[in-house]
Amino acid sequence: MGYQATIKKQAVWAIFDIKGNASVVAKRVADIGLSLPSSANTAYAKNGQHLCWIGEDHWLLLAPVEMEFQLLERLDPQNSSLDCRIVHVSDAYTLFTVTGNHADDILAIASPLNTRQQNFPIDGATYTEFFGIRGLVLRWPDGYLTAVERSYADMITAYFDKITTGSR
Amino acid sequence: MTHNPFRQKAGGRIDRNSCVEFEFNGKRYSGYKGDTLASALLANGVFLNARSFKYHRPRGIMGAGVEEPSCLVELLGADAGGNYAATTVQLRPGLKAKSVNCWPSPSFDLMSINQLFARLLPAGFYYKTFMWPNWHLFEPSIRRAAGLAAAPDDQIPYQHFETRYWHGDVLVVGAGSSGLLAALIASRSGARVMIVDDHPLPGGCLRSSQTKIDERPAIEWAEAVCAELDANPEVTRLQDATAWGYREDNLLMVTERSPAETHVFQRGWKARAGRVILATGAIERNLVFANNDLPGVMLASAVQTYYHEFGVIPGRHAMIFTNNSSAYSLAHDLQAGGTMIAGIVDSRPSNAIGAEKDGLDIPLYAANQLQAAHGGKHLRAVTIRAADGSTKRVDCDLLAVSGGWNPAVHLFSQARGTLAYDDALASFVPDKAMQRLACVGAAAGKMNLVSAIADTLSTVTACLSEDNFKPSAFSLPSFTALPDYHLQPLWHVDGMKPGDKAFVDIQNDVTLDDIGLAMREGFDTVEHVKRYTTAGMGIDQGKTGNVNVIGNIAKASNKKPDEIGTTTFRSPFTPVDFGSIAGQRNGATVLPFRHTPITQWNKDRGAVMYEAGARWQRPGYFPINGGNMQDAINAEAEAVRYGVGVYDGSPLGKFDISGRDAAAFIDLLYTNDFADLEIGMGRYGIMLSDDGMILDDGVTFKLAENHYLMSTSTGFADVVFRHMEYLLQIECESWQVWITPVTSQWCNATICGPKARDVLEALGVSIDIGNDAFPFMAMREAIVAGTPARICRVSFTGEVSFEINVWPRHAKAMWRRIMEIGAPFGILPVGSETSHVLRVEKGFLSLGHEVDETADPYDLGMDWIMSRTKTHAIGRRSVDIRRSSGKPRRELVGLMPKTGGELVAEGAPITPNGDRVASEGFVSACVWSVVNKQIIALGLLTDGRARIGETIIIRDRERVIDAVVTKPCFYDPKGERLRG
Amino acid sequence: MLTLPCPFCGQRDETEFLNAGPTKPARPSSDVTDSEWINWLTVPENPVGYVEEKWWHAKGCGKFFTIKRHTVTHQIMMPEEDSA
Repeated sequence: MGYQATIKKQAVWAIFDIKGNASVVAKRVADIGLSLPSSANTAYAKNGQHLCWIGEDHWLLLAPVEMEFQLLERLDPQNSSLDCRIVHVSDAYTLFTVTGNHADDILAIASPLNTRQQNFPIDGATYTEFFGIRGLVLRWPDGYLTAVERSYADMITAYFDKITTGSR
Repeated sequence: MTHNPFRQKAGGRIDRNSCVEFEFNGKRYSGYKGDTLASALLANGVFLNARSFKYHRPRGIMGAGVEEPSCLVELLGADAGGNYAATTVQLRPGLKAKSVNCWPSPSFDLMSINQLFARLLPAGFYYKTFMWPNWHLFEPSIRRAAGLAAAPDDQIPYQHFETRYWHGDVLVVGAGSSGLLAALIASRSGARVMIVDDHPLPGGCLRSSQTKIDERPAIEWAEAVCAELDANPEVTRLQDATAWGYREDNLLMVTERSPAETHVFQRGWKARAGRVILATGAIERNLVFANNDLPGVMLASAVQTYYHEFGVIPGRHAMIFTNNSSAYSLAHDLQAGGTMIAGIVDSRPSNAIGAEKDGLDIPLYAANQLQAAHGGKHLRAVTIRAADGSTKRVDCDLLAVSGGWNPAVHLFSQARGTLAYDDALASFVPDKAMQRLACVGAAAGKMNLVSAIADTLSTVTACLSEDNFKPSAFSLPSFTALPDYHLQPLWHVDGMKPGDKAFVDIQNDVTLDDIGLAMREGFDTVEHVKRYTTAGMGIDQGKTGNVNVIGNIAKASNKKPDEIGTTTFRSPFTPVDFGSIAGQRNGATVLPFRHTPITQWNKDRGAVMYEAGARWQRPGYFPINGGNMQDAINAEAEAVRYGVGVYDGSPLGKFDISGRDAAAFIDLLYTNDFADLEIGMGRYGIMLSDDGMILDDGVTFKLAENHYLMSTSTGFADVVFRHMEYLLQIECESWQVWITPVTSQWCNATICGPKARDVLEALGVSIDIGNDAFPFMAMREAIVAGTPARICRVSFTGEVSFEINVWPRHAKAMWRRIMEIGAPFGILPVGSETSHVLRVEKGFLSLGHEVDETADPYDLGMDWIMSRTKTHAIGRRSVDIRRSSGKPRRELVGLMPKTGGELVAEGAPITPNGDRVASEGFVSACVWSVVNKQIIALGLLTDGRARIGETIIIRDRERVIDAVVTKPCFYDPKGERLRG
Repeated sequence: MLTLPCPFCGQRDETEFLNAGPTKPARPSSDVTDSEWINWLTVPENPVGYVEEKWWHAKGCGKFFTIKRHTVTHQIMMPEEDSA
């Protein structure tokens, strides 16, 4: 008997790293129809976009790749407005979905994050340790969405293979 | 067919229909499913199965669980691993085991010659004897002789280990009566619960007790509790799993040996709970008499376990020696089972012996002591000593000993809890807890089952209420009463003769005499005795011996045991496979690794891959048919110098830095001025740490006002990020600067060489790339081969270079296109070996070579990078202070070694006259130069710049090599080529 | 293994953090003497008892924050709490 979990490496998503004062950031994301999440380490989700509050003055916007050029235009990351900073980082991450009955077990192997509901709510989104490196974890239907720095993606894939099959 | 001469006809909880074959010390035996290796060996009559640690005395199995001090085995084949107690190894088909501490076998052990010299091997012997000329000369052979199991070699079949976390409310250690009850109460109150037990099956001492619970056998109650726990999804119940370490903040380290997931061999749990309940029970201790280590001498509770659990009685003719009431239940069992009992020797006076003796029809030697056991390789007889000193010899082949019970306080003590001495128990019990935990049952010193259960209920209920749970009313099951526990301490027997070996710590071979010797030599505190004699160390961690050691120190110094105190119990509680700590971090993932989109292309091309810092895998060089490594490097280097080459520069650290104070921040970081940098241009900079040593170097481009793209060396990107964030968050809190790591948002293919511009033109580029429109150190946005790109003109090779940065999703296509378009120009991919050659020819710095955290920019001849006007840059003050001392410094120089063709090892020292004296410098890099057609090197040499032209001497192991000192640049010193 | 109270993320496992050393006094101005500078640079407090120190939530939100940690017992408290 092994783990009942489906792990899928995702194709590129549109991702933007946003830093700055909350009120300024709120105005910028209002342009694309989003609001800031109300509490730390949660995500505001709308139309397939997930705005994650991941640090004191720090947000990460995840969106379907089809929206990338529209978002590049609307968020205008090249424009170094002095009030906040939006950096286009779509390619800097690789995303995986971990779903199924044993998704919690897979996450408990990968990460020290306490994912009990009282600690990591239904809209939870946070940076944590993931197979020894830094990784983003979001709750996802029937499991989790995780993102790691792209250069580690092959290593993370090797870890997933190993823990689900016991392969060397 | 199973031939088990010491197995009872019936009884035990083994599966008599499933015969299991196994091998021990090369011989084949059989047992039953449900046996441990120990119970199967005893059933087969294999009583001599170990040799002791130091003296190689014959030893047998003494215990039945984790307390086993003598029979340690090494498993071979698929289970390979060492230092398992035979009592904790589950018998499985094909199991192969051997004793750890004897050669060639326990019955013919060559090292047992140590016994003849036992008088010469007292405590502290090694410390005193092997002092001259130094201990390390003797250590290897001593370790071999007095060793534990050897580590398995790397040829063993792969076993998949896993580690995982668990977060919950209540973690119960021990699934005996108290532990099961605690878990039940906690789970019914809605808590998330884990219960961990080191036996394959739950129940603890209930498994070998005649107690009835609610008028049914106790074990049925335990099974019913487990069924309820298993039905609750919030409960994790682990059997055959040991909680072996108690860390800060209620983190318990647990190793699970039989996970349900079949692909997992062992699982390590890092389990953290709001509350820990320690129901770890108690461990029986030995009594100290002559030859108390002889095969056939066993703990009374162990004999009872073998009888109830496995239907094994490891003897025909038993004797019991006790100082307390608990061993009598064994006498009842043996009597009921029909085993001949020669008698019970009880050191307590007859008026202290209570109801426990009722119904026994065997000789009772009250107020007697068992002075000595006799036999060669197995027990044959004992000497009983009466209160008046008279002795009597009685034949027997099994001696069951009980010296009383020690609460298993190991985890409590690891959690920094303090212990108190309990006179009635003559043992240490938990006192003040230092973490959120509670001890219940025998672990708390509650030895009476009925009152222990009541105490568990109230303790656990109080804990749950304190933790904001609402425990529901709980009615206790009814237990049949057992005789009260009563003990009189007996630290050692009287009447022993000089030379008698009476062990206080069986596993570490520490005798009563050793304790006395240590104390006579002044090592009279418990911590000193431990270190001098090794008592309580190693695998045992004081399970069976510790309290006897303390009792005997107390007795010898006329103090009470609580004045002596205990030593610290260390983790692991029992031996643990390293695999269950490392978990999935093995095999392919033993070290982290990072790839670029081009990594696979490199591997497909046959590149020899290196780790290039910060875990990036990069091509070292690309082997060519019929050539060696140097041929390959030469071909790549010549391509760059005379044609064109391309390398994957993606791993270089990259940071997007912006905000109102970004320019000021860049100025604070770098020693040189950036204020006059124009938009679209880059500048090389050096940053220092606060102590004035070089932290990193790299090129920073100005993208817009207060917006920069900083590049760092590959290996130090994380260090630089931490340095910058520290400054911003702690020292420059009011500054507005945002830093975003973008290392992996950009991939770059760096085309370099005299034909680089031609290749870029041929690729198709949307901007003018002539030297006037696009000068050295400029950055431009452009469309290259139909793809948006950032092109940077920097050079780490000394040739014209175009760094073509694209989004990684386009990188593979761009790379293939470059190789295709570049083919007519003779383009070659370049590995890090060649990059190294090219930068040494130019005298460019490399962190980890010339820059080793002792060098400052002046040492490297870079006075120009230390701004004259800017004194506030990080590290500047420290450099100035250090240099003001005027002491000679090691300075960067070039070296022309006269080696006759062989390279000089990096790090080779330069010494005055080549003598074996303190060095005056070292070689930091040495390569074959394709442009100079000779070996060249860089090095750091004391006052080097003043010594150009001088011949110095390098020592490379046994070689002594002359080298001429030169300027640290061997090619295009004016830099005309890279600006061209 | 400790858990540490990140001001943004709450209680997290020690492996997510890097220790960033004891809290230092403010960086001296450029007119201090050499020995004052060296003292600031190289002489940290190392008490038996509570030390005020910085931690970096490197694998989490990236925040540097301050706690007091007992060098013997590893008890942790916030810097404003009384450690007497």
